[in-house]
Amino acid sequence: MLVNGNDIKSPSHEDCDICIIGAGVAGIVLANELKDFDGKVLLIDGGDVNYSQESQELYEGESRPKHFPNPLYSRLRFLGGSSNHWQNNTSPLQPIDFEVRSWIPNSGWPISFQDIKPFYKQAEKYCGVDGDGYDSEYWSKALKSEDVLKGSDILETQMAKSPLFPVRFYSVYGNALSKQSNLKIISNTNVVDVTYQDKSKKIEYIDCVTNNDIKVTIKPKIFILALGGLENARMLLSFNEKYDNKIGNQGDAVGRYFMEHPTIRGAHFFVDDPKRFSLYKYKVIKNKGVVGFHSLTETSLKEKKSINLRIPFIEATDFELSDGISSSNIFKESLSKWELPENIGSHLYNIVSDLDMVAEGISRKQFNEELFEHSNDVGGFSTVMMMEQTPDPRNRITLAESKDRLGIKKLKIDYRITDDDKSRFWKSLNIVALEYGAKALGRVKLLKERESRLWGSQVGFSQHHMGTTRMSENSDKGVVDKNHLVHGTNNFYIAGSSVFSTGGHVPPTLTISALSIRLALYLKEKF
Amino acid sequence: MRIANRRGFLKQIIGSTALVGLACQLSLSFKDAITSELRGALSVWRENETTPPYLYIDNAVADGVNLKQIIQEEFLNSIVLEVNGLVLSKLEVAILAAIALENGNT
Repeated sequence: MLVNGNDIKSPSHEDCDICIIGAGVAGIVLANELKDFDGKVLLIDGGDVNYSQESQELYEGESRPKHFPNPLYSRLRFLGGSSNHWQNNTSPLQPIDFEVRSWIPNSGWPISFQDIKPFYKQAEKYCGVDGDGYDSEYWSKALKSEDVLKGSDILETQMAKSPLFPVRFYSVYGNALSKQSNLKIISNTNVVDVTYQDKSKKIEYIDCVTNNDIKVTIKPKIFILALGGLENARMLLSFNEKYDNKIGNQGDAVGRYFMEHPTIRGAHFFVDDPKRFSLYKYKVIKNKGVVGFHSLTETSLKEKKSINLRIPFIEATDFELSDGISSSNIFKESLSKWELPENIGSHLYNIVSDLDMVAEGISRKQFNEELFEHSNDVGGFSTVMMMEQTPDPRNRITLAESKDRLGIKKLKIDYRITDDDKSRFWKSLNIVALEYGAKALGRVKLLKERESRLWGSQVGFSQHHMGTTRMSENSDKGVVDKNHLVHGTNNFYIAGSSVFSTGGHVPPTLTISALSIRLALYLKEKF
Repeated sequence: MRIANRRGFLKQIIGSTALVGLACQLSLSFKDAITSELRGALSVWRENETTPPYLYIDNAVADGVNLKQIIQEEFLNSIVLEVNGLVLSKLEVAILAAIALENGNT
């Protein structure tokens, strides 16, 4: 049953066995998986079936640096959550992502890849990419495309799959959920507070308010927070203000270890035979989009002590590969601040020796006219690499002083890419460059001289928000245990990418789904 | 206005762009982008090595060993140098530097 919270006319009370707050990917998968649970389930969401500006504005926050995307724009606050605009790329995490790695501070999950592996197959169904898995050997044969990294101990091909039509989770699963006999969905209803009993270590009541300002009180036996990678932390910090950090924040870990997947345009690839690279071109097969990308193997990551990268390939023209244009932009950026760029000699050299492409750029920008015929020749591959980020407690979500219209403090994001991560990024790319030469695949150009732009105005973000209520053995370095139970509590669980202990180098939605299926099974077995 | 190549472009702008003057001062010929890569290779070679490039080539390719194989082995053993960010084997850089010298670069 779907109840529009805005139709509730007077304060009301709900009893339930399980209350899930948040109807995004995690909440919807959980609710669906609980269809055979012997008890009443409530699924509460602050948004409506469709987008509304009023609901969306509750996501407004502050961020440092300023170019880090504001959640007002990067998240979506209505049924289905941010699946309403996700790009649909799915790949599983790798076994090494779950391990403690001495060279990655704060790495390691309290569960292993084997604990989650059985749930990936079902997660594929939720994401609209079921069947055939992610094995590169299988896809190489199915797509009749060579895996140029076959036999390499250093690099490997990994696969990404996406549905042809984006899976908006509520659009796809909402109808079935609204008919689920043990489930009641209440939209337009926002959690604002909880009542925590220190003695029983349980959340006794959840206080909600509809978008028409009517109070709804819920008494759950089990409470699951599933508001996404940013809001889970924000709400937990807000709850803890009243309870002296006893609700999972004993170790001051709530909101910390925030991770993204920064996207970096750090290299160009000049390959000997571009035809051999067709596995890395997006193809449609069996109603799915499939594409390969390069990553480092577990062996090389362990041997070289570095981080992994997701390296897709984009055919690039001479114009797009131009060093002169990039150096011109670096000059322009620096001069606008009345400064001279670092490596001024190299940049001048690039501009002068690549003057035709600089002129091409000016012509295209100023006159919308192409100047050189050869500027559109394919010269190699560019790439926008997704980079694994080390969990760093300084990267964190905190509460701002300003409040939203519900009286809850807005979130504040403090984010950085550390010098250690930047250094590991170049180390990983160097490993790629060496293997390219050793396997006679081609040559790799590292765009280090563009660093000021790569890590500045040109850095991209994937809107993958992870780690802010991370899974850990104890409360010193995390917020939830291996079964998503908030440390120190007896009935409070958290679902979604905020529980990721490390983020890996691939999009998180498949893993969010797999973890949610696992959590639902655990709850059904335990209760 | 569509221009077929770099040479044609230069013909059109010579004398009208300050950058060309700058280029002349830097002794860049604009004949081909390769020229600057060769000079870059020579410069990198000199920054990193004391032996002349042709000596390194002579030693590396002795006994009729396959050139491609030597280059691959250099990559395998991390015997590489970066020329404007391009990761090349030491032998490749030596060859480019030697060509630059033959072309009259000093």
